[in-house]
Amino acid sequence: MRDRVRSGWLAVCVALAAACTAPDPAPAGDRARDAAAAAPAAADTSRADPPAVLLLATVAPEIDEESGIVSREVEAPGGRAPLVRNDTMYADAAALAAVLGAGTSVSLEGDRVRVGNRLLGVRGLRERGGVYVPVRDFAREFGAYTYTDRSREGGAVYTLYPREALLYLLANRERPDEVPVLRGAREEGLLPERP
Amino acid sequence: MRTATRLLVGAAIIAAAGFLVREPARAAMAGRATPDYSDAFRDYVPYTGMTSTINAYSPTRNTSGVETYFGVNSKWQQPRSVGTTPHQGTDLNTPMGTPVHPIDRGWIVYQSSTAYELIIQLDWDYDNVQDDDVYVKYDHLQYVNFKPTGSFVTTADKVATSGSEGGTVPVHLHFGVLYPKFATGTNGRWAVTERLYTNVADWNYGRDLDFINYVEVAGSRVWANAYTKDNTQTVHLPAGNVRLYHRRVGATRWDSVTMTAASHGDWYADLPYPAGTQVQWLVQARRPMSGETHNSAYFPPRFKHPDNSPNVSATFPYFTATVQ
Repeated sequence: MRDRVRSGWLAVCVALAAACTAPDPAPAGDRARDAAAAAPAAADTSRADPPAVLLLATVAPEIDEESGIVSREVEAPGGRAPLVRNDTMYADAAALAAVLGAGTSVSLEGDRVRVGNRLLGVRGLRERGGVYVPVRDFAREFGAYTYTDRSREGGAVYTLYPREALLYLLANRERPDEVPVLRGAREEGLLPERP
Repeated sequence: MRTATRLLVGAAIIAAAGFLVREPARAAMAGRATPDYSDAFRDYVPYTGMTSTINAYSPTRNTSGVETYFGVNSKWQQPRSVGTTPHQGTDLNTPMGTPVHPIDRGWIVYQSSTAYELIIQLDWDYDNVQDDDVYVKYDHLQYVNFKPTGSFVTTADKVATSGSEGGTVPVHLHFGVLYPKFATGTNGRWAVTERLYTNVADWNYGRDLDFINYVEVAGSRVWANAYTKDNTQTVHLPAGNVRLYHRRVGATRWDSVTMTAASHGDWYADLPYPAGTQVQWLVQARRPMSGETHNSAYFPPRFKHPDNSPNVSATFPYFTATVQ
């Protein structure tokens, strides 16, 4: 049973990597070429990334007066837990959409993800009764930033910062340029450059 | 043996009347009364059995286990434009991954890798019984769980590494002493930190750790120490930003007088009453911050978001003294 689950995940990983390795949306012709180019690397599943955690940061100064932010693990509906391959985290799109306030109506059109009536420039894959997407790319579509901490022992921690949390941090830090999340969000164009 | 040593050190500090141990800054205050450490803790850490002082260890060490004393970025009680005002602990300018150790022996009572926090209940009296109601909180950590929750730990144990709380703050270590039990959520019981480090020259004998500390009255003169830190740089408060509020016992309205700057962040002012008068007093220090309405701190401490005048609210704590 355990082996079956493992081999099933390997298949998911291969498929996800093939579907999602390219970080930016591309024209259909390019996508096919990209997928083919990505396939050899994606097929190398011998490198199993350590387990990782996906957190959601929310504004809660009444709970944590120091940082004003609390984090909790993003639930994995139907056991569709996030996974990391080749330093990219993938997660259930419906779960991500829910915590990002984008609703729960998620579907695939070809390999593109639709959330509600928005067709995103993010590729996904139907698997285990859900749609898996690369977390960072998906979050960015909704103005959220994904902070990755790979320094911790026992696996990386990915934390989603919705736009509300980013704006809170921006307004509540004396030295915003020294806040890693704000720096990263600016680099991704999620926050305006400082004047 | 350890307890005896600690008490001996405490007694030595008292015998030195504070001035020998606290040089050089204390020289400017020579002639004042011996500092009363128990007074400072009386209202904020009413720990039963504590004699006068305790010498805690640094919360950080290098990889060889040797204590390190990083610069202070934000002091306990320091008014801030963000977060809690005043600050409920002290911020140290630690790099990512700096080993964090207990400031003294005790039990890990809380740790969370999602809250990036760790709290240790100190075995304050070294009797191995988990009944001392004094806690130390370490925050914005990178990694915890080096030891299971409930573990008894000593200063030799690495209990965490410093970080940025998942990227939400600049990398640093926040630590603060908490009384009473953290679970009550009481905001007004974060204890002054200076008293734990009066033997540490790197932190100006503890005064680098608290925005206002070492408030005392000698004769009719009240002394206070207040300044801010920007890592290794001391930032003195502008003239007029430290005031002594006072009133006769029984009066309802506070009067105030501007305190005069002395050296090393010391300030003084005289209580304008004849000898024998029973008075109440408190000290206010203001950190100038543009656009911020909560830029005052008080001693005795007043949490949180204190008004800029004690006449606005009746809930300000104060000291009582008889003018000599």
